[in-house]
Amino acid sequence: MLQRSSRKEEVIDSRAPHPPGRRSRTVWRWILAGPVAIVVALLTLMGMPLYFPPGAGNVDNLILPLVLLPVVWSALFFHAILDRSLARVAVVTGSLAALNIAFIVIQILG
Amino acid sequence: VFKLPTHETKTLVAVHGWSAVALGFLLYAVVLTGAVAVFAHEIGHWSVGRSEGNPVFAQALDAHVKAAMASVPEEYREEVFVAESPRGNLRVWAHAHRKRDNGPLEEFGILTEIDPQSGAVVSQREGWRTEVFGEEPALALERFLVDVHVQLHLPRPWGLLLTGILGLSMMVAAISGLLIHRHLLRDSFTLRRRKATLVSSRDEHSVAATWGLPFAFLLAFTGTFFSFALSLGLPMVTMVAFGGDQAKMRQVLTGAPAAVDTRPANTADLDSILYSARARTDAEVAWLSIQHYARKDSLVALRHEPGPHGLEPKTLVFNGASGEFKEEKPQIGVKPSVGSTVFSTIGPLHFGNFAGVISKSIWLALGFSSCFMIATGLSLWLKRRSDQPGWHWFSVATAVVIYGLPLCLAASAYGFLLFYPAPLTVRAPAVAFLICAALVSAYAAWVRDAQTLESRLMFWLGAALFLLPLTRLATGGPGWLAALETGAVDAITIDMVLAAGGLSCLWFAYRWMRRSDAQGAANVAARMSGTPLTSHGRAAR
Repeated sequence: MLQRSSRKEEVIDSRAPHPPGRRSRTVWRWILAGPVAIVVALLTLMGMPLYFPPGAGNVDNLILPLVLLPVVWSALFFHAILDRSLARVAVVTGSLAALNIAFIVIQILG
Repeated sequence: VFKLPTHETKTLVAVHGWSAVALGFLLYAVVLTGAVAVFAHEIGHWSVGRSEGNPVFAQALDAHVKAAMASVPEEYREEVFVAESPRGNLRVWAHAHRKRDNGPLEEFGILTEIDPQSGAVVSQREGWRTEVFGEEPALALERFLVDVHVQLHLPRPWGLLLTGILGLSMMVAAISGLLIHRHLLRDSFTLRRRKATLVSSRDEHSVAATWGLPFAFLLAFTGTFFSFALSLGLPMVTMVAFGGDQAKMRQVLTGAPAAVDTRPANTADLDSILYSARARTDAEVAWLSIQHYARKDSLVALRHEPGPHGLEPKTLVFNGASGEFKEEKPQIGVKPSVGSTVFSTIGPLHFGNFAGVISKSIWLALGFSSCFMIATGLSLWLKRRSDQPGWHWFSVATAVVIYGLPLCLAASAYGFLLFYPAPLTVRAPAVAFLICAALVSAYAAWVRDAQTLESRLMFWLGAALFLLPLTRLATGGPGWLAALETGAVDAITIDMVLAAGGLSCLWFAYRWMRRSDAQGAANVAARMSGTPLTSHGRAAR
């Protein structure tokens, strides 16, 4: 799509070709933004009930992860496509996944 | 507003466009049917020609419910659900919870429909909830509209998962659209209709998107919650937090059961309970349920729609044996909490039913504006690629979906009206929808020109909408005088909206046909003079 980017009617064309060296980085970026973001958002959904405060009604830890699922996924998705450092994206996403996997494993093991 | 570097803006523009192109058609289907489904209940009343404007919960119902329950076997007294049927009758669903084919728990019982005036039993059916309610002809049109919106008429959980993904794509489009807008305020008021076609298309999309952005985000967020919470979220949370024990999860979410007392007891006067509930809230009663009918530990719960003074629905609980008020129960859990408040608020925000007809009308208008936003976005995408032959069939498909889908929805209403109240009515809306979709697709394959399709489909949509009220009357629906006498305004209001909508579509179709004819004449002249045509077969300008 075309988009004006300034008052001088500069045109941004998303169809413009990327430099060749960027191809593999782009693939990795879309893997992190797509399947990886979905898997980590679902891991967060499963892990959150185990560490989120249950609140006065003892249900906050069950309901709020469900509500926050689209927010978590959107945050991971936009971080993955906008952060120029792929390493930083991988570290943030991986840390969130590791934290939730740890809680889930501890819960399952007992 | 947001000044991102050029590279990031370029990425967001690509994400915004390609997510819309990949999922825009399905998203349009969900948003359009969602806008219509805001009034699904009223459309249900209209479709069956409901001639009684007096709600059942405003009438005496205690004697009718107890008379119906007298003939119900003991095993179905575990829970009794009392509500209003689409025809304005009293509906009593006495049921137990059973495992079905080693699957999840489902309700099994007897559904009795009673005339609230005379107390006569209109119909009675026994079976699983899915079949008893799913095979009810009177609910067929309302159910079809809601089903297309909720799960695109696909089996669970696949339909819910797909609409959940569409909700996420709508969030992506809304957020990326916000981030790539450099001049949000200026774009909100810029509409250059007399300038070049591409500029006016861009302005139309920007204006619609800018004003509709908060609503689009709200709908996407709440819709994604509903789709994923039911299909994916709750099972996953149950698996991890409760080791897969559904009963334990239900106990926590709905509150621990009261002390069991199986001794028989008379059920308190339901009319007195309704009177007492009205004194505590000014909101309308949506339904009433009785747990452990005719037992000492019986509980009567009344669900009230969001009232004029709040967003949340209310549930008032009474002692079923004594009739005394017990508590106002949160929607989730046993004590008020952030989780329960958030959960209770999401529904009214998505359905727009928190301030009656006014909020529903606003939600309907905002829903249609979201459809306009999607349509102008796709149109803008195509206009920027009008010189690329590969996009020709996409432009034809866009016209089919944007104008053909509302036509198919109108066809589903015709299918319902022509077959109601025969048992075939249950399938009629879906079959009529599919037949119409097949005819529109075949016509599109024959015409192969998006502009011609737009004007012709708009004409047929206008004619279909305008003739729907007449078809309702011709198939035995009550006339306006009869509806006015009983205070049933749904039929009159929807008839008027359909007629006005039909005339508007016909007016647009007339204008577009004139434009199309002028273009056709230009094409002929171009061919005769040897001027090259564009990939769409039109004269180059």
